[in-house]
Amino acid sequence: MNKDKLIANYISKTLSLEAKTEFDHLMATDSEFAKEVTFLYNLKAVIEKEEHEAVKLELQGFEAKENSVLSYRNWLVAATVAVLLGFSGFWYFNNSIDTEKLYVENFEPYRNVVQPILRGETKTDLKTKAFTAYETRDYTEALHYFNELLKENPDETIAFYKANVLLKLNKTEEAVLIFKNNLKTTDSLNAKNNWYLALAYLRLNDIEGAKEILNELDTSSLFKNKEVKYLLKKLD
Amino acid sequence: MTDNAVIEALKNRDQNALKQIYSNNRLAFISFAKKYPITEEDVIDIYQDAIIALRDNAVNGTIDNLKSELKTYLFSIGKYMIYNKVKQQKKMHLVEDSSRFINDEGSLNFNINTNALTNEQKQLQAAFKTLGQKCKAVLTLFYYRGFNLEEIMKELNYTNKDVVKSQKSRCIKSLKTMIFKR
Repeated sequence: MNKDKLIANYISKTLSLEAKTEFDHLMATDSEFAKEVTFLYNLKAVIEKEEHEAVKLELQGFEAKENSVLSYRNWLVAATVAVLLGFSGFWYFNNSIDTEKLYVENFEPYRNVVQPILRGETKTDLKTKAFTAYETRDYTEALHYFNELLKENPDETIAFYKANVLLKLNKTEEAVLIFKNNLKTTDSLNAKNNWYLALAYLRLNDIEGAKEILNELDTSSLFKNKEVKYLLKKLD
Repeated sequence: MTDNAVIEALKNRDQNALKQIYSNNRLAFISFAKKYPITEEDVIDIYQDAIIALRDNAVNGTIDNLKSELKTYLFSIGKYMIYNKVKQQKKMHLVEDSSRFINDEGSLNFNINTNALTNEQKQLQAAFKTLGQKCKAVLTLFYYRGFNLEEIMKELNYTNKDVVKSQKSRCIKSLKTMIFKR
């Protein structure tokens, strides 16, 4: 076999056993031959390296694109999150409608236990006028009379009814202030103040506030207990 | 594209095939590599090297009659490379030896050449880079792809083998002139 063929077969790893003997002999005895083998062996390694580097560059290019696809994906994720937040906002909004619904279902101005109004009666004192208006659901007039009454004599019970009127007139914040003020002292109206305060919180969509009050009410009183438990379940 | 078609395309460094195989297996490989203590940057680097090694094995004919899926083959190369990387980092004490590590998916045969070039080879590489496109093409087909003169003639549209042969000789001569002139 000629030297070139020997070297070519050596490099392509296709030397027969017989040729291998010839090759080894030449490597040991022919320095020009050995030099040529080393050169071509190195050339093969260099070309392989060149190929690797070229492919590596291509792959790195793909990777860069993957990353830009990824950042596009990230952008999509961000957009999706934004949309979901929008939905949860909608849900939240819905949720506030739910508390509103719970409020409406459960709110009923506390019945008049202060001033019995008898039909056909023509009493003209402020208290009777106030509770007449209250019972006939003329809440604007009732509010006016309750304010007059409270000017004359601050009274927690009258304030409690005034707060009920305020709830009915959608002046929830003002009502809350009164219930809270009433709760600073302990009396027989406590449970009722709590109940209406909880409803006011519901109205304000303060679920945590409402739950806190309802839980307190659940453990301290049997007033409206069925409703209290129902609301607690709904709010959980 | 079937595995065989991909292997053929890889031999020809078909960019679409390369891209396809890169994208199709990338995420699976990254998640596969998560159980090993190497950074994602290293994982990507290894993944690319594994594909390069896959191509080497496609080119030299090792996987012409591949018994397993190409993906399995690629992953076993990658796994072997990860193993070497981890061993380098010495972050993990591996009880199993490397032969078991690579053979647990069946005896897949692959050659990996990630050896750094010697100084002598680096000089030769610098010289090779200065060659014209024709020389690079002929020498690459001959020494990397393993084409014979006739195949090169067809591939590069030469009129006859002898032209290829003299072209190849001229290229080698100019390389030798460049590195042996000192």
